[in-house]
Amino acid sequence: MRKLNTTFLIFTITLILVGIGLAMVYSSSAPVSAYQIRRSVQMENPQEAAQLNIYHDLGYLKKQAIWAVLGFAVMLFLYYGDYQKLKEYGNWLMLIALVLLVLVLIPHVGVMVNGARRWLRLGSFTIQPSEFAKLALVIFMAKLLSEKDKYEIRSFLKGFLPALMVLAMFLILVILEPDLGTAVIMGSIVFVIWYIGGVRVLHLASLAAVSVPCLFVAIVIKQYRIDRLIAFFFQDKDILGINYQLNQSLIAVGSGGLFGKGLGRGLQKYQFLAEPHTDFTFAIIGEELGFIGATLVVLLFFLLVIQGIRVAIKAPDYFGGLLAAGIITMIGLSAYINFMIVLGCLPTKGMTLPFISYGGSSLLVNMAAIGILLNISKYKEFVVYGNRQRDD
Amino acid sequence: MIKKTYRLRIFLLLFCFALLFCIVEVRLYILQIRQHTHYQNRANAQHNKTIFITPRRGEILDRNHKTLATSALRYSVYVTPSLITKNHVSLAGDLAEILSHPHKKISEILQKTTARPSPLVRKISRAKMNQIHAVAQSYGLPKYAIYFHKESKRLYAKDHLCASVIGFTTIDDHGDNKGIAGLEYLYDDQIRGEYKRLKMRQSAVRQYLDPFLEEDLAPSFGNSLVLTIDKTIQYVVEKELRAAVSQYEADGGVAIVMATKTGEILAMANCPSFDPNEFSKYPDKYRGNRCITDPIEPGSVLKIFTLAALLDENLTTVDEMLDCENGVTNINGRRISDSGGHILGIVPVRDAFVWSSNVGICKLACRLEPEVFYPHLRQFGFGEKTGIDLPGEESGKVYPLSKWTVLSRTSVPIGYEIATTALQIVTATSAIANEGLLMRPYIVREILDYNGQSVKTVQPQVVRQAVKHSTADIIMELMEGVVKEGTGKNAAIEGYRVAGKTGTTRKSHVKTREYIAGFVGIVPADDPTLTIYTYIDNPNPKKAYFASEVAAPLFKRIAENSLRCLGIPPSVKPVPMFLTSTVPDERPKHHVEKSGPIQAAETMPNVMGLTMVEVKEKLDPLQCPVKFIGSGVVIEQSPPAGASMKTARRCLIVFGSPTAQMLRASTR
Repeated sequence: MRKLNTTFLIFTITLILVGIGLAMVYSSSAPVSAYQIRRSVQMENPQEAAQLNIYHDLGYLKKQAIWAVLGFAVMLFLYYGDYQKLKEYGNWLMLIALVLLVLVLIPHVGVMVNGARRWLRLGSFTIQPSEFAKLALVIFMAKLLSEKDKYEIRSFLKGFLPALMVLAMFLILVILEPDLGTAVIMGSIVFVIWYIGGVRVLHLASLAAVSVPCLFVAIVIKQYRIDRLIAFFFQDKDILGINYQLNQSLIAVGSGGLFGKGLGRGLQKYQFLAEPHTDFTFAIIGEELGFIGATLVVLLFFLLVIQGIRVAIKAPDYFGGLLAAGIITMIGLSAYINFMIVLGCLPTKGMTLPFISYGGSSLLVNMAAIGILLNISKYKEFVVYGNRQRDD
Repeated sequence: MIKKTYRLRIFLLLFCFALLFCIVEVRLYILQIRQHTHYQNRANAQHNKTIFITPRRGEILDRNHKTLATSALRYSVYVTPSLITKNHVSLAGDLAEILSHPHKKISEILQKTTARPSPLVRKISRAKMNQIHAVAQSYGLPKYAIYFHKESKRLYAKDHLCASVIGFTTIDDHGDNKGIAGLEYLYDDQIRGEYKRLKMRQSAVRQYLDPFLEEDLAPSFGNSLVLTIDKTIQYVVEKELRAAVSQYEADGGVAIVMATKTGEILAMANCPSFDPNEFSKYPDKYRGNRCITDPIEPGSVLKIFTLAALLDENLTTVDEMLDCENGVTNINGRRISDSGGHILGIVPVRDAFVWSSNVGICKLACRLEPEVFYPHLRQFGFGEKTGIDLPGEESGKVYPLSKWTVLSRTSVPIGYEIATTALQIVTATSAIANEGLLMRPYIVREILDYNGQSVKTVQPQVVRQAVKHSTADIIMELMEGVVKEGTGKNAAIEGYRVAGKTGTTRKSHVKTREYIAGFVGIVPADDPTLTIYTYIDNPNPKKAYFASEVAAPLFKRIAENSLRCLGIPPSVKPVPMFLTSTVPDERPKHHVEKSGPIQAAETMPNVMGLTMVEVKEKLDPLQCPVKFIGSGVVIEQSPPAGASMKTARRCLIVFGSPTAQMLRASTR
């Protein structure tokens, strides 16, 4: 392991994952895109629709490819830059993210899809501010914790409370979209950064104790969240018909078997499984590439996490270390939650698989995060251990 | 200290991730390896769909691809009584109104309580199906309370044309698709079409993900039959036959029109006939094809073949003088008499035949030993099936030699003690007209697949040389005499040379006076194209019963119309005045070669196959009077192409249909 360069490994794994992502987006989105075109034509002109023979369409693939190129550019830019600058911009980034999260809530500015305002329109592209907010929050928390000494961190008023206030603002805005899932992920990532940054376990434990009732309240106030939870816990009796998607996901993965049906040969993407190209790409991977392909993807993510951890350990300063740990938690946790939703172990919730799922904002943010990670790993080569701030 | 705990916390994070990803792997293993079969089955259940393709029965077409029988899509209505819980009476009323069925019957079915679906009505049109569907919806019935099945209904040509040849179908699981009579029965395997199950994969929005492959669909389309029947001629024949049967108050009659040189059946009619759409309402005897199933004693018609045998064996000549003893004689202790009013004394054999003298023919036939005569009859195909592709053909009856008695020697030559089907007579007579070659009659000339591509083409088939060529020609001449001056005068058609023979049979197996009046003929006699045989069974003797009065005029009407349908022009006797000199063109060749338009006009162009307008254009520069005969395209021209126009004073151009030309062309 020592022989393999961490920078090289992270870079390679990321590219492989993005490559798999493009292939899977093509495989899973082509029928979806074609179906949407047929539907829209049918609305306008039913006669014409009868003769329409579109079964594959590259619309989503093209958009995703543009985002991938953009993400790659951002990744290289951040890799050649200096992550220490992020420390200076940390507050600004946090403020911009907050503004975007507020903007998205304003009617006519935020795009409403399925009753939730999560997107901002930029020309023919839409961006998801909560994705950017995740990274901004990680950078801000890493900065906040690295600037304080160990006593400040351990104190409630000086260390924990300001951080908690910022987090609360983010979470409230995200929940208002509403997007409880992203809020939970955001909270979890920050939780991990705090723990690694040395916040007192007592504080964290009490916060966890408080957040459980809060979560409960957040669930109870929306009927559909209650429904989803009930459906999840009583999977055998599909009382509410919500488990259709879960069942389709399990059928997709389960029917893949050891070797899968072959790339592009899956059938679940033909409208059986909703959102096969975004939140349920992993189900299509399981169906088409089988246990071997799915395992490969899981292993790649795990390998990425290991490399991220290595960066965090070898980071030249405390900020870098926390940043690396936060980034890798963000990516790893998102991937894990996505796997678990697809495999029916967590309630069905919209959550993209980093690098692989269709979604420009997610891809861009994750590749930017990898750029930062690569940058941090670059510096460890020539910065002496002793210079670390936390060694004071 | 912090550095130490920092590393510890980081490793704890790594450990957590390792644990989490292990859980993912375990879950993947459970789903994809352990429970793979379960999920595969569930996937198959929703992806795979078997669709059933109702077979489409092939069509039956006439020789010009006009439809004689076809299939249409219809719907059957089924009800599940247990799913209909209320409004029985008003629902039954609504259905009865749409279907125009008795209200009581429908409401009986609806008021059952069983869960088993029962058929309400079968084979209704799409429009009615939609109406019923709308009614079912308006009552808010569940999906399978009233439902529909596709099936096909067989439809036949107007006026039940050709019914006895085509036959009919009965209902099977997929509609009218089981041939039980006629061609529908004989070619059932060909035209039925397969009931196909196709395994397709489908999307969640019921869209098939696999293409419909031609090789999968093709078998469900039955092949189509192209018959030798000409729909127009068939119509004319049936019409005339019906008219004759009613005119003479007869029991019935048959008529066959055959292409002499090929054995193709152009028309085959029975009277009375039946409606193949409602065949069960008719008695059995109306449904058969009596042309091939009912042998009769042919009577004088058989004299053709008796004389052919005599001539073949050189036992007589047409010019031999024969004493017909004024119409009555006694041979082997049996009184033989002529019928009809024409009394013959000592006349040539020719006249004895032309006037159909029983006495003369019987006296001649005494020279034929049965051992010689019998094989001749068999040569003509009597006593054996002709081999036509129709079911139920009878072979008729020719007694084996061991059963011949003394009386047989005077019965068989004039067409008694022998039973032949109408088809056998037509076939044997065609052999006479066809230079002695006996053809196998056939009725299906081509089998087409659903694309209209030929699967099988039937070629005319020579059975054997039934009689010497020279004998056949002599008999033809004699038969022409029959129509010209003998018993067949009523069959003469203006402008055509007709050969024929009458035959009046007194039914020997009934006590009462019952006759069969038949006539067999060939037109045009100079270029035999059509052989027609028709007989009227039991015409009212008080009106007329002689073949010359009953069958000959019927033959004439049939022949006339058939000739017109086929566009066969009147026989043209080339008159010397029209003809060009046969002296070869003596001018030097280069003269013609470098000839301009004016010189080109000096020779007759080839106009064969052109239309009248084209011919006019072409012959205009000749400045020569042109006479047109007939309609269609040019089938004959005089002078011939390339002949010099110097000596020609008139051109004669004969038009006809290409079909006629085809039929006239020798197939050998």
